[in-house]
Amino acid sequence: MANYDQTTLTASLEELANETPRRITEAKKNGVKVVGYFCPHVPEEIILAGGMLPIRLAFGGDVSAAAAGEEYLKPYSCPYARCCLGYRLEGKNPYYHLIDALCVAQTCENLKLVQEYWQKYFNIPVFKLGLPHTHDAFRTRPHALEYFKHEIEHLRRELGEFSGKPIRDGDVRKAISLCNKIREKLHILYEYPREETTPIKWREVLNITQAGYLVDRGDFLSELTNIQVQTSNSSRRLETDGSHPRLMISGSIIGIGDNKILDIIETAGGNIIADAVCTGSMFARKNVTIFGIMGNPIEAIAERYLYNIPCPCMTDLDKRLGRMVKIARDYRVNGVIYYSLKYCDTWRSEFQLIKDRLFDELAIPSLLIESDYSPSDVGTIRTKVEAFIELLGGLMQ
Amino acid sequence: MTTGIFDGLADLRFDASLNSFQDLVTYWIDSNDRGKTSGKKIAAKSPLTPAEPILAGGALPFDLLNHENMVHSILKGHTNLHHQAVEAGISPEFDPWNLVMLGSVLSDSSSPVFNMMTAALGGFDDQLTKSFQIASRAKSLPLRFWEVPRYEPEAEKWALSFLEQELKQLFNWIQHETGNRIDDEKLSESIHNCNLVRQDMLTLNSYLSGSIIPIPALEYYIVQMLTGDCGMDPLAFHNKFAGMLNELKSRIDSGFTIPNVVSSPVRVYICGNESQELSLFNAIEDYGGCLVGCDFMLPAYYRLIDENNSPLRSLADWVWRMPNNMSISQRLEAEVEAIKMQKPDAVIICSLVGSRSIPGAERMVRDTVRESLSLPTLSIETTLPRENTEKIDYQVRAFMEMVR
Repeated sequence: MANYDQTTLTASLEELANETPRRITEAKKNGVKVVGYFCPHVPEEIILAGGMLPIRLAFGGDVSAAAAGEEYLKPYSCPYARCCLGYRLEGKNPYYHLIDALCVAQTCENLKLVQEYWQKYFNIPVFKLGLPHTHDAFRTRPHALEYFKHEIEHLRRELGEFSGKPIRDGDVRKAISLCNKIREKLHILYEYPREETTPIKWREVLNITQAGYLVDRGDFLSELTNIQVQTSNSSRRLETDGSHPRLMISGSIIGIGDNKILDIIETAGGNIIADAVCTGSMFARKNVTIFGIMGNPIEAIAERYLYNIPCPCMTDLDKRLGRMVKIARDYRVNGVIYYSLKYCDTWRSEFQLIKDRLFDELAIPSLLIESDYSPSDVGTIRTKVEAFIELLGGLMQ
Repeated sequence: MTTGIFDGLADLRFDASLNSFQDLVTYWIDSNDRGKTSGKKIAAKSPLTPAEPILAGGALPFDLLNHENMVHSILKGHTNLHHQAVEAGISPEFDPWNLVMLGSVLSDSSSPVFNMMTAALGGFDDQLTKSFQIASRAKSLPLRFWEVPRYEPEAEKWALSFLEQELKQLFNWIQHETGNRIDDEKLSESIHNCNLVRQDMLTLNSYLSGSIIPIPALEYYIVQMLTGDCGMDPLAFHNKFAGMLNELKSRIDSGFTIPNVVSSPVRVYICGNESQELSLFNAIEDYGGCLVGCDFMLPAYYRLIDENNSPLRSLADWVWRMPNNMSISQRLEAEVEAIKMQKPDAVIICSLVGSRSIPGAERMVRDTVRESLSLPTLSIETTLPRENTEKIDYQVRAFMEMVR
């Protein structure tokens, strides 16, 4: 793999990200409210339209925060969920203290518990967003969209009251436009690693995406525009020599700072070029339609957020499987590494089905890595990943 | 009770003189054979999924989770069924109820053979949902999930409208699977029959709220578990249940005291997960207590379904307000009242290792019980039968000594 210096590409964004806690503190002094959320089913557009700052609290990978979360959750619960509480308890991560309210979509059991503890023990207003789990790609349950639309309307009212001014359609349309532009630009960046030569690595795009969960969204769009200009004009190309298997990573949330599995894969010579992860490209997929900007924006937002790729807490397994196969095919993936956080029941349960489907349709092998944030299993995981990559290398020849 | 259906539980103490309880359990266990020969379709369901839609569609409800665990894990001690479940792709870190259930289905140990599967989603259980999904795929059985939207008073209008649509689609699906039309009359009848059992449970709890406790802890626990499907026939189950209630009433009237229960026992209420460690219930009595209530199945009988309005609307309204569909803080608010009615002196909070939702809420339950009721609490964790016997014995003993 070519030696590629990416520091100039994202230096400005990194600087912005480092400045963000201070900037948020300043904004709060001026009366700006900060609203945190965990899962990508919460429409940022509504928060932005209310003149508030959305922050996706997607940090993970921290053993100490996960342990701190055991104050409330059992050790046999999802480590990301424990971190969602632990960061606040520890006080080390500023973002978990900067938020004025939480907005929580009803997804898996673990996160439902997290919201309850935030509400009761951290005394933070929590706005809940009901999210249908049984809708499907064929839209056989049209009432699901109707329900979700009402829930988003309800959220709009609640957030409007919280921010002190009603959230109007015009504000929502502007926010949709901003978020659409961000998603489009991220989508373009995620497309680059599909080719044999790319100006940017998948992991860099992941880092950019995750920085975007924290920084001001207008500033983020400017940074993305700069990055896009640089990447499209860059004569430098990261080239693969064909000996490194093209990998897709899928599974549980890869939190900001959860580098263990990614580092191991890179060190072992794996080349991740695609993902199906909710903190990665899944976040950038699918825009709110142009009709949303022209017509009823809430309906268009409901459409986008309900019918995006379903999280495995939802029952449309076929759509999820179909999406995995499509990504693997489009990106000419050689193998899939399936990262299941320990005690993440929904993702873990689907590994076998996904593995079988990928193999049956594309003859692509998958490797399950089940882990938490502890470094104790690094050696074991490294051995498994190295063996998998070696196997893929053999298959490629 | 040391013979017959409880041979696998010879190390536990049953109340041999409570004949009506044996009748009730025997009826429930025999439902397997009755189901097979009934000529009706059998629908596997989750414990808290109401049976009414299935019954209204002329099918038999089968509580897959409780049946498979009662029969295989608790009665027969066949816990090695785990391997089948893990091989099918679920994590060995799942709770043992799900592992045994899925393992038994995949190994064809499941009885009776069911024809379809359905479960409610909402404030229920991710593991159960996934287990049902895997089982239906592995056995090529039709599966229908139906969704209960989150309970939120301000969302009542659109949430109930959504739920009614879900139920209508469920009815269509059941009609398609059984060939039987579901109408208001059939739905009303099934609601009425299931209400009889709900009333039975409420009556039993009212007995336990008195000073004379007529039923031992273990028997009370088992009766609760059987209400998951009422032996596939709520009306017949109610008739048996009514017989037991009569016997218990006679005990109360005659001032009967349960052997092994001391005079003025510590009144214990249990919150949390169902346990397969049945020695817990004997231990409560061994160390000077008695069981006056538990909430394992409370969401299934918390109140009666309104029989005076549209059955669809009434069913939707009841399901939406089921305590397990509420947030934990809302649920606890409601549950505190239910606990108060049983007048306990202490609360045991039971967690099942591997389960997420209820153990995850343990801290909040504990704090609420202490703050709202000023009662001492004991938190315990269990796994498979007989794996925690000594630990539980020690914990319960120390707790009861402290409370006394």
